[in-house]
Amino acid sequence: MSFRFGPRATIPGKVEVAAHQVDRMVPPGEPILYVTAGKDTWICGIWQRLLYQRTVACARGESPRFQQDVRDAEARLHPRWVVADPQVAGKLRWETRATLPSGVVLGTCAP
Amino acid sequence: MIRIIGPTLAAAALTIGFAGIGESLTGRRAHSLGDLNRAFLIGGGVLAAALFPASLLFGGRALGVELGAAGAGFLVFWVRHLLGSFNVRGAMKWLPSRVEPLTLLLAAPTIVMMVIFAVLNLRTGLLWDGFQIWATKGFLLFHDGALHAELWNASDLIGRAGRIVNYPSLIPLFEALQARLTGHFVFDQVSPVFQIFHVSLIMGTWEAARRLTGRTGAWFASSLVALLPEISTGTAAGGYADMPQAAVIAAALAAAADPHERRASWRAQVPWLCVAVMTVKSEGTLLVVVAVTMALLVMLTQRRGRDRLPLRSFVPWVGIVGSAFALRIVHLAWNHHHDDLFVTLNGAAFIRALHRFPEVVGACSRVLADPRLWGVFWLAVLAVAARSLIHDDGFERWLSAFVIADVLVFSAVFLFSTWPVALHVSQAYSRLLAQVAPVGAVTLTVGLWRPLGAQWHAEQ
Repeated sequence: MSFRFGPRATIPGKVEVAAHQVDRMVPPGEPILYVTAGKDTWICGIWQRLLYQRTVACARGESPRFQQDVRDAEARLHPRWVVADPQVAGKLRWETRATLPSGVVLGTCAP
Repeated sequence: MIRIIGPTLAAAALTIGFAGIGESLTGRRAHSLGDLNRAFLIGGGVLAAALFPASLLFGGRALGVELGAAGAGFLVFWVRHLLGSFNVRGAMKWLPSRVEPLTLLLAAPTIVMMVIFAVLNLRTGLLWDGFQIWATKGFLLFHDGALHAELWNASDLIGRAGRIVNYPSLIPLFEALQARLTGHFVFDQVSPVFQIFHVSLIMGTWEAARRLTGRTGAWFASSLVALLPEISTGTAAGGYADMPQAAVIAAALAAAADPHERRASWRAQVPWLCVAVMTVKSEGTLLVVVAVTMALLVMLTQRRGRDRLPLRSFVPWVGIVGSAFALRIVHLAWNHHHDDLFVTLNGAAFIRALHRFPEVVGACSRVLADPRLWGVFWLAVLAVAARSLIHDDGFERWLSAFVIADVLVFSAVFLFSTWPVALHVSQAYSRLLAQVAPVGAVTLTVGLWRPLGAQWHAEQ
């Protein structure tokens, strides 16, 4: 089962490329809120590690806790920059936004 | 494949470095691969236990200090072994001494499963805990150079990542040191660490069973362990720490099965290996407490008085294990991070546990007897252990008491879980059992092999 279905790489190359693009575009040290379309926190963990030592808070766009997670992140970190998977980008009130070549949406959000 | 050569060489060098520290502490030069295995785990365990005080003393330079210590161990190892003579015959005890069909038949599954584990481990990426917990701790250690009370800024916001700071350090330390040697931390290149622990697990089980049953029984026990899916596939190949925990327990068992190593000296291997057991997973501390409690009970109820040992002579052991225990408690207090996986122990918790009791017994029994997970392994182990507990004495009795107590204690923890019983048991119980699988395999081998072996030798 592991051999057949296990992931060949822990960090998908596409996510790694996207994270590097984001890291280049966001000013150093700025915290980021990442909104995932995924159901669990696996992909959040990958973004947090790829962008370390920058602080990355996560929210799951499809979760009933979405609004609460965003409020918690805002209260603790005041992140101006937001990265979102395209499927859930519509749930945010963007001030500026751009779709990166890797497909993720990067921009700033209204508090 | 080529990308893994550098990390493999780094992990091998660190193994030697750890072994040099272990040899120096115990004053025992490795004469066999089994000796080398135990020295490696002792050295690694001591470095992992020392990481917390080193982090307080040296801050971000703690990992560098630990790397320096491993480097010194590496040099000491080679100086000692090049000046002395390495006992090649002794080292080859690992291999069958002569080609006996039965031994070959029993050794074959071990070898095949070691290859399968190696392929799986290199082929697949890290699975959940392997990535989110263990390699992440190693990654942070590599970048920060020391343990911190918080994983990272606001790590408690989602995914309960904050609790990772409470996890012990041997696996993350090994991964971080390996990355320091190669110059960068790559999550998919921590595999060699687990390859080494898988070999260590097989060697430890083999040695423990050899001391109690002989070489053929040793191959039987090592094959039993290697054939367990929880040990050689799945999460074990995906970077979880349960298999390495089993490796350290197997080595501690091998040392405890050696009467020379049961001597009441601070240089005996058993207490140092108990320290190592406490540095792999949080459950290690619990297992050491269970092992010591069972040893005391067996000694106090010894039927043959001549084997009874004076307890006060074990003060050096108490000092070593007690110091590691105290360090662990202080580290947890320093982190000040409450793990919400279990309820706080109070009167209400025990009443709640009483209500959960039938559900926990049912859920754990289903896992223990699940033929897809364990076959009849645990049923056979518990039957043999129960028989041995009644009829045997001394070390065999302790072994049986220990394995039964492990299964009971690991089942009892779910009484105090904050999760729904069925979910938590299905997620964790099998991995807990995997940690003590070498103890089960050796117990089963001793129980089966002695009567069968005696009959076989009589027929020869």
